[in-house]
Amino acid sequence: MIVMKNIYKSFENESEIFHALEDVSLKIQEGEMILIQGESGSGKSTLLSILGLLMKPTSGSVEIKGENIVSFSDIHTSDYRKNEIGFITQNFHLFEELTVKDNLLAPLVLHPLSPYEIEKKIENALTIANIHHKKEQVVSSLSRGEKQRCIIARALVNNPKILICDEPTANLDVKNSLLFIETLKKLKKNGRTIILATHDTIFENLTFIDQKISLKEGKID
Amino acid sequence: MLNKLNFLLILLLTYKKKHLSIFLLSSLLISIVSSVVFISSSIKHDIFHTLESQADFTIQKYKAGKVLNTPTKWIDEFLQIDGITNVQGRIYGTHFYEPAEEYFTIIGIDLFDTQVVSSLNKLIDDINTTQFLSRQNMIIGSDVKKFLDEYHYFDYYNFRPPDRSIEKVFIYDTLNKHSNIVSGDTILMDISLARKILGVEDGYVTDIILTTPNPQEIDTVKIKLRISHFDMRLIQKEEIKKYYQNLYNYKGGIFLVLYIIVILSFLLILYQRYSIISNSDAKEVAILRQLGWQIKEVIWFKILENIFVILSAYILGVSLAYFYVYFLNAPILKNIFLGYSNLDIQTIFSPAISFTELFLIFIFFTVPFIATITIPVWRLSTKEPSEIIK
Amino acid sequence: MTDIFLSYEVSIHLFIQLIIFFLLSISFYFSIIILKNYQIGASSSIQYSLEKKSYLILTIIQLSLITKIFLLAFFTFTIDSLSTIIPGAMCAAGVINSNQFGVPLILLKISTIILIMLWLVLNNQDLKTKGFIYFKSKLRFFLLIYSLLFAELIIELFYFSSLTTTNPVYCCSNLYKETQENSSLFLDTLSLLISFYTTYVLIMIAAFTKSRYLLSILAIIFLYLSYLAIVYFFSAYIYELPTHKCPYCLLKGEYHYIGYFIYGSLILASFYALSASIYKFHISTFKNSILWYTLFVLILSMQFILYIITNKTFL
Repeated sequence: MIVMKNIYKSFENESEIFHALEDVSLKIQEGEMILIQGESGSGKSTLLSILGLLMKPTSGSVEIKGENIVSFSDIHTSDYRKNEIGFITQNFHLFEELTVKDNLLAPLVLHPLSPYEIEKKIENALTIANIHHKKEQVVSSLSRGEKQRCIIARALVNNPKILICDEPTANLDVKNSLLFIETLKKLKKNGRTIILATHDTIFENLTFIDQKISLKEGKID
Repeated sequence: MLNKLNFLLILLLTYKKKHLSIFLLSSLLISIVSSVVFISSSIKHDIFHTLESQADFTIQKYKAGKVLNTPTKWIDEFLQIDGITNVQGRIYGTHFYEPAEEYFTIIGIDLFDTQVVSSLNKLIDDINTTQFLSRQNMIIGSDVKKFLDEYHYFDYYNFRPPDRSIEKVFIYDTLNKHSNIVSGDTILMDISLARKILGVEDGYVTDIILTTPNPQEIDTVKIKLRISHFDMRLIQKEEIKKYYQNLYNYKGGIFLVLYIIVILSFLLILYQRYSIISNSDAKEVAILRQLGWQIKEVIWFKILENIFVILSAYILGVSLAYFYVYFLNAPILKNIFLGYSNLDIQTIFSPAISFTELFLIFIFFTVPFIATITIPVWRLSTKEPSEIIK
Repeated sequence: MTDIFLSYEVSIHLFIQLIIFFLLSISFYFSIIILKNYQIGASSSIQYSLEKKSYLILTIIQLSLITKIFLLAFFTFTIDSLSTIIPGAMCAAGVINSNQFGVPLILLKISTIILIMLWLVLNNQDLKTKGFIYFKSKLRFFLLIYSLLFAELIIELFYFSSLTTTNPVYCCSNLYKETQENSSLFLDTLSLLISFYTTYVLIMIAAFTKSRYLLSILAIIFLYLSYLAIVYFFSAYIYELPTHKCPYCLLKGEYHYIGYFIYGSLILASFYALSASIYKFHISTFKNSILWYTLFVLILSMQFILYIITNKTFL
């Protein structure tokens, strides 16, 4: 259960202050899927960064299960991210020269797991994301859709409760976008909380979306 | 922890090129400084080894700033002093061969006397005395052999003593290369022959050496020796040791200063290179942070990455230096340490490295390196992931 | 004077010390900045940027600690090697005591290491608890440590530049003679031994009952008592020579480097005991104190007992 109250975020430049978010509040229940719509520059990515504990707001609070995590030190926010959150982004933030399998190692090495357990988790995630057959291939040789599935596998490898997706279909064709939506549906069925920010209209009329929020110039419409 | 190391290795092996230039530069620096340390250490070791077997005191007659031949009657006087066990008169000197402008060192040995200098004892044991004394024979050092061979003196050589006679001396044997530093250009012969060739009058010797086995008594003996004659110069083995130690410390010290200058420039380059945060580096950190890596985990990960590079550079550098000094005998560098002498020194360095020295080289390189990259690594690790991921 | 600097070991040692000090000065600078700008209740993004700065300080301190521990061991080698060129000194004891800076230097080196280890404990606490409770106090503690480090550097420079290769110095048999003018409070070895073992038992009791502050106070007392006990009693049994009373020769190879185990366990034990005052009740602090103090006392006592058994006589 995530509660954002009166979130403000401003960025300071040499001469000016840019207000990315102004007075944003929202509530996300467990297992919900929330769609955040808005044009580029409306503050979607900033909002997601704050929700993903990658960025601290200038003011306001973010409560997760009752605790205001905004004042937590890096250790706690990182731990929370490590255990509870999976990111799916538009630019395929993968280690291009590593294999698919090795990319999935990056989040797992933080946990005290045996090599066998690591192997098992990787296999699991690759199967769910339907990219198991490309496990030994170097990421740079994959197609866009395959890279997307690689990102999904990595996001799922730790079995996170929350999935944060930032423009996941921006670099995909229609076929792969639809495949992605299918995957999302399955994940939501499994009880995960999904936060999706996009300006892609393909998500407009999905039935399994519980909440829709529109952002315009940093404010909720 | 092991998992992280495994992941680190995967990253290092995949992104080798990133570290290649620093790796090579580091190896070069380490191999140079290691070579210097190895050479100086070997020389010191050999010198001390040879010095150990030398006499405790050397006495020379000294008048008006000039060293003169020492009277033999002093030998009996010294034998009276308590604490002195062995006294011996030595005859040695240099012989100048004008046509080639080279100097030989001639040392006369009395084959029937136990030598004060124990290394000579071993040598004498190997000689068949009767055969050696049956005619005028000499044992020559390897550098001398090389020279004589050049001038086709394969079996004998004609010395020309001051009395204008000619002394034909046959070559009995050649000293092996190993003890080169002190006796490479030496010729050993019977003491009376040496006396003739060097023109030392009867009743005199070049100098007198004596041993004092009990180290507690050395100071007392020194005083007694000093007051026995005023026209005398006293050289103590300990002083020679200290002299050499200071000499090689001094020479090493110069290299140290040069090295510090070089390493400071290296560190500047290093700092510059690491301060420029390349896109791929920033992306790597951003991904890790996004995945839940803590800032301090990222910092330590990056530092470990560099430690791996340093370690490999160290191993490579030291191995190269070892090969250069002990297999190739350090061409070029060797001459800086040993100086250019008359005969071309054919030195073989004997491996004499201590753990302390290896540790010194390691820490001398590693600590400045890590210190230089600390701030750039920190800056990289604390970059906002959201800034990079856009 | 300049002879000393041309010995490899000393030059490199000082060079490394300067580098570490330079890094720690950067930490010092950052600590001041953070302390000036830190306000409770400030916006979380300002707090976050200050927190990020504090990670530089943490990293530098961690690196400095590791280097300083190695340097301390290396320092003993260096000092010992100098004994060959300083007249009269037969081992490190003579070199250390050759001028008035030697003993304070060693004491500072050991205390700064223990204090840095304690700082890391405090830092750990701060990072673990939510709300940055110890943030300011840990930075202030670091400022204190930094001043000691500065003192250590100055004293070290004075010490090395005052070493001469011409004036003879005393050796340990002279320095540690038992005379009435000794700084030891005890006139005989028996009361020293009784105090030593009694304090050890008290420490065990304090650790078992988890009395934090008592344990720390006892640790300080025991440090001094251990020093006296080692120098004036136990060392003679390790060297097997009644006149050889020296705290430094234990570190040499001919005695199997036993000094490192003895001093290492003592320093670790003292660290754990002292950290009990900082740590908010952590079982392993007490367990570790018990472990390392017991090891320390055992090693010393074993040397004594073994000697008695094999030689059937006291020294």
